[in-house]
Amino acid sequence: MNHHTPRPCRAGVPRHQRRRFGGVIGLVACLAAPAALAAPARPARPSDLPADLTTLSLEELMDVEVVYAASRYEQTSLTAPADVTIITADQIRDFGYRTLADILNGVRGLYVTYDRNYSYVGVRGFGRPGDYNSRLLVLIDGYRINDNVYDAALVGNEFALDIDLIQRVEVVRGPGSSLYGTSAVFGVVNIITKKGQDLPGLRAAASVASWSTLEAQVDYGHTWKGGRSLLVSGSAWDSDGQDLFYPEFDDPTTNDGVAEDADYERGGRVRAVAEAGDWTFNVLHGSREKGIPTGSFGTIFNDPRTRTVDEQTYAAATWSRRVAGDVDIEAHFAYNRYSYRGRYVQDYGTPGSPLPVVNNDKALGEWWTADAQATRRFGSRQRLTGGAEYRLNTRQQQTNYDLAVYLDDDRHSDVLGLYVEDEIGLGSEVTLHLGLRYDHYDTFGGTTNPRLALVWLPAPRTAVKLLSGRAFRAPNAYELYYDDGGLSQKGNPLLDPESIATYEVVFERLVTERVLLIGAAYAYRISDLITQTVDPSDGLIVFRNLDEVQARGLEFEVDGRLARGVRTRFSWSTQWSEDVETGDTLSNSPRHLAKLHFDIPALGGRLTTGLELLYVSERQTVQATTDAEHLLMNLTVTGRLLDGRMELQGSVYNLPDVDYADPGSAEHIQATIDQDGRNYRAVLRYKF
Amino acid sequence: MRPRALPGADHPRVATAVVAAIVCLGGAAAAGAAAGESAVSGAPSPTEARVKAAFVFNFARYAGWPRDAFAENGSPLVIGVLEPSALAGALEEALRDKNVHGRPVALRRFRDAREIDAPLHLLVMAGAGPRVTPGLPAFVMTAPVLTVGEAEGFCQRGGAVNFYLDDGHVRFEVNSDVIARQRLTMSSALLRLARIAHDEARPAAPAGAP
Repeated sequence: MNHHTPRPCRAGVPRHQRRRFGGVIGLVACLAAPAALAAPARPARPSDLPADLTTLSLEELMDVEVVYAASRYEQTSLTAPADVTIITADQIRDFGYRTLADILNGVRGLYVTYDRNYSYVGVRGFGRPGDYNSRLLVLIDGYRINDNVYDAALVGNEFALDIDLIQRVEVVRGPGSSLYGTSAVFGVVNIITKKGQDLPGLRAAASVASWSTLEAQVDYGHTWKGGRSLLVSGSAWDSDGQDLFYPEFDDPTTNDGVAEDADYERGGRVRAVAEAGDWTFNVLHGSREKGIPTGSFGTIFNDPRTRTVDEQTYAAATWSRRVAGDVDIEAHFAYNRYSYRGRYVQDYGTPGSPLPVVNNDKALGEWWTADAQATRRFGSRQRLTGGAEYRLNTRQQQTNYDLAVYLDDDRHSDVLGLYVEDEIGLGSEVTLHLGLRYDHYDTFGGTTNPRLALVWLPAPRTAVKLLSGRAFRAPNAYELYYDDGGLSQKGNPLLDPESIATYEVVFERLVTERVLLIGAAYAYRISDLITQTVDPSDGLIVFRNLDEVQARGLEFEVDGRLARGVRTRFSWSTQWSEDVETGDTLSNSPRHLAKLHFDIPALGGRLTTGLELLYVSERQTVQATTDAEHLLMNLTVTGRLLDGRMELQGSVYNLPDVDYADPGSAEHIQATIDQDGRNYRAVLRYKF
Repeated sequence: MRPRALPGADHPRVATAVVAAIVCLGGAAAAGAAAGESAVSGAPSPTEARVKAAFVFNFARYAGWPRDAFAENGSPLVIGVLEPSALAGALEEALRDKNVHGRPVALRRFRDAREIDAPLHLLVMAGAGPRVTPGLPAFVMTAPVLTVGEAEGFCQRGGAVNFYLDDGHVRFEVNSDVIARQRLTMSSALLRLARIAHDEARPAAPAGAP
């Protein structure tokens, strides 16, 4: 590769077209989770559990799951006051998932797009091109990781946590602002990480994948007597990427449409987590550099210098304790940093200006959070949770410069959130959950967001959930303050938060002990959607509270464990969404999504086959063209040798070599961005 | 370089057919799963209590009692539960018709600590710990009785085994001092999954912590 800066990255905005980034699909290369090498078929959900739990092994009992993100304390998923999907470390490994984007792409109702720079998650038909996942809240062990400039969640290789270190992912659909504040518009993704006791000893992993992609990872976990534990991990990867052909640039002056050596990606991550008594200490850092081969933002096509670097840093201390038998308290203190450095090589085409010009677009965010929460049980009937979260943004800096400085803006702000949640048992069959959170911003003032959930268990192993709630997304620093002095974009400090009201009905039933059926219907309406538009008075791009969107949808899922430990999951989602004013269908909003997973153990758990089929129906692009439907198939085979100490894994992604594409966004000349053809990965993991 | 189809150009309509196939497959899978499992057995939905009750059964299975703890060879292994306890109902379910170490398991429910008497081999109790439970007979803390609790600090207050929740999973800690003092043994199969605790007075684990 002819690119020399081995650092990782994020997207930005060159001078002309200062829209923030655009959209992608989950193709990225990363690492699958080498989950516990013990018990092969572990019960993960209520659906997998036998009637008599004493038939389970100790390890299996230890693996029975309860949910955390749905209401901040642990509970079984059937009674969780939300529509929840859990992806375990075993599944992450068995399906060869490489990134959080891969994981989410396999979840009912979610779809991921990739624009060869970032990955973007669509939920319930809403996946606005140009939205950097600011409407999905990502938590690490229950705490926010979205940044403070774009409110973006990084889900591709740019995410700072190694996939191997994920114990499980909880996807909680629906509004979560009543507990978590801003960004929890369509859902909350809570990532539970592995700790020292989950990965005992020294382990190393190496992988080779298509397009000269190499990755190496080492981790070491230890638990001392008394329960203190430590986990440290580090990894690095490097990928040459592909030479890509874009017919939109098929001209001799732009290398006949071929972007050479411009799709590279490289990065590194470190992680440490220590537990001692009531304390947990977390450190996380990740950095990624990605070349942008698409010529987005009016950059010079086929110039590999155009790239983004994203860095995420997180350091936290959490203290939790049960006091007085029925009161749990938890306090959390964290430092966060997010840095994006975009380099966009441009030809301004003006006489006298040097050619080309390297435009730098950067953001740097630093923030501190303090969070305290207490839960008290009142007998078995009631549980009351109250908490406060304070976020101090010490830096929200955006800069853009090349020959001149167009933008140099730094802000400080703070956010205070106060929340309360009450769970009240009404008889043995009905539980009512009431949640309310107030957030105060020094920009627009206060917002209060309620949530109401009624969980009814009309029969054993059957749950009916009626859920409604409101969530909000605060305007972010980018939308408020990105102003390049009248060149292309101006800020709008008067933006209000956008809000969403959601109504859901969820039906869950364990048909037998092995088959869980889920049916869900929802409707939502987004008001004051923060939308990028052009001010006709000066021709400048500006964000305004403009659109209203409404949508309805139906989802169905069956999750069954067949004979011989084979597990299958099938889901179908269909939705109708429209812009209320125009009646238009939204862009990047597929009518149908279908997913099918088979997880097949063999040879007493020593061999596992994971087969994944993902269907996305056609989507509108921002250029009003249609992106064709596609069906993707991924196959992963994992073998365990030497008593489970060694794990060998081979994956084929896009097995039938289907040509497919994801919608691009406004910064792309391409209406759609082609995605990867058939590609491979081999992983070797060894436990010393 | 991989030549790609023009964006927006005709992608294979095959996809529709394959989707239909997926649906059929999915349906078949569900049907297969349903068929594979015979009659519905009306079990309660899994709860923390059920998981803990199953653990209690395993504690009985993997713990050892001295010979003199039983009146005779066929004497039952007696598991007591001190009410109120969220586990009582689940224990009834989990321990029904069970045998351990070749002995039948008998469950006794005590409404008050003062009612507790021998024979007793394992006691499940709410509350902060045996040492601070009013009215608890002394033999519970001296004889071979495995006490199981679910309160923070239970093991520091004379308890042998204590449940806690971690990361959404049921976990347990074992006070090895109590186990030894009360002439019990515990199999390594259990101990390797347990967090090891010690009496309050004893200094925390020696060096090596992060």
